[in-house]
Amino acid sequence: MAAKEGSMALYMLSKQSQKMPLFLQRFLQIVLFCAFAWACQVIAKDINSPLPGSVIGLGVLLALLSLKWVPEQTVSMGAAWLIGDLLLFFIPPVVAVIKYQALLEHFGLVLISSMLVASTIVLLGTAFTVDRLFKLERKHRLKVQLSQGSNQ
Amino acid sequence: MTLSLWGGFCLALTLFGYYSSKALYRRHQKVWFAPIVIAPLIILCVVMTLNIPLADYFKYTHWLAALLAPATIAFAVPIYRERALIKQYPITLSVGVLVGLLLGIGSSWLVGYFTSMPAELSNSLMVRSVSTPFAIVATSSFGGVPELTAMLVLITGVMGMLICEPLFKVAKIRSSVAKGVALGASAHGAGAAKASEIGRQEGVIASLTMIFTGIAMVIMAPAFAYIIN
Repeated sequence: MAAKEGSMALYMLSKQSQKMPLFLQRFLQIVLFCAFAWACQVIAKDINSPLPGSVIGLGVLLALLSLKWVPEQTVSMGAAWLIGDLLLFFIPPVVAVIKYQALLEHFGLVLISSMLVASTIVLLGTAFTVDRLFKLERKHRLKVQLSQGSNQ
Repeated sequence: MTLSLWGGFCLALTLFGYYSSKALYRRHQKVWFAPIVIAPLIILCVVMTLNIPLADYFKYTHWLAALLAPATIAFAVPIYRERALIKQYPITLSVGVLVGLLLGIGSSWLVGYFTSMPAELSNSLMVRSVSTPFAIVATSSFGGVPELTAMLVLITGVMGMLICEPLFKVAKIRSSVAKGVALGASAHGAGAAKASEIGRQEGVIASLTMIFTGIAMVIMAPAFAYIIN
């Protein structure tokens, strides 16, 4: 019941927020995401969860969306910004790679060339598997549809 | 707490580098102008030429990196929105995610096996094919270092963007599902961006594959690390 009331409150919030300027709505949604992420991380630490809090949070939010306890429009703008500007958030860890400058200079060429071979394997291997599988799945679906059609 | 001048400068530099490279890419749609290439390059160059200590660089920019966790949670929204597509190709998508993940880890392990890289580098390679927020939490299972992991994930993404089109042409890969899954599983966010340039369907499938591969990596990393060692 508490969850139902909570979803009502969220629904009211989404109704009210429709009068708010868009940038403010988006900002509020991002703040909500951050608060939720923080809570998930604290809980994950407290229960010694093998999964990181962020992935638990992803699962919880997906469940809430699927149950319609959280309406999509209360989170969609914030989510779009967080996903769209993901690159900005991982620039700092990339810059920190300066610490390993000597290591990267020494192994740079080996690293790049071997990664190129490895990436080719992953890309082609996955593409080939999915291509064959997709054709099979489609053929199977067509066959099912055909047999259903002839029965009628 | 005293305000740090260098810290403020670095935050401004990071924001400026990122948003200006985004604006640049909107004008010149060339791979070499993609923000994933230009933004880290500009910022790295400035930090290195000015010899800014990393502690100063991280003074405020660590708040940007802290947004990786809420961004991970935000991935629930595209999964929910594209649930119809997921229900349409459940087998293709899940097998694609699994194959991509296994090939990603397997190929990275081979790189470490055949070259004489130090452990911190070869361990950081293991998660290179999944999106950064997932890679950074999964890398510790393999004994990887977050900073090296972030860099290797970035390079893998750019590589996937560059090599995908000639490879698809040579291998005669035509179905949009195969292209999308392969790009999402091998080159995460950069691959998904490239896939949405090829087509809308490709882009959505690549994004979904990227998210599922990331989640699967985080869940299965301890098991994979156990098998490898």
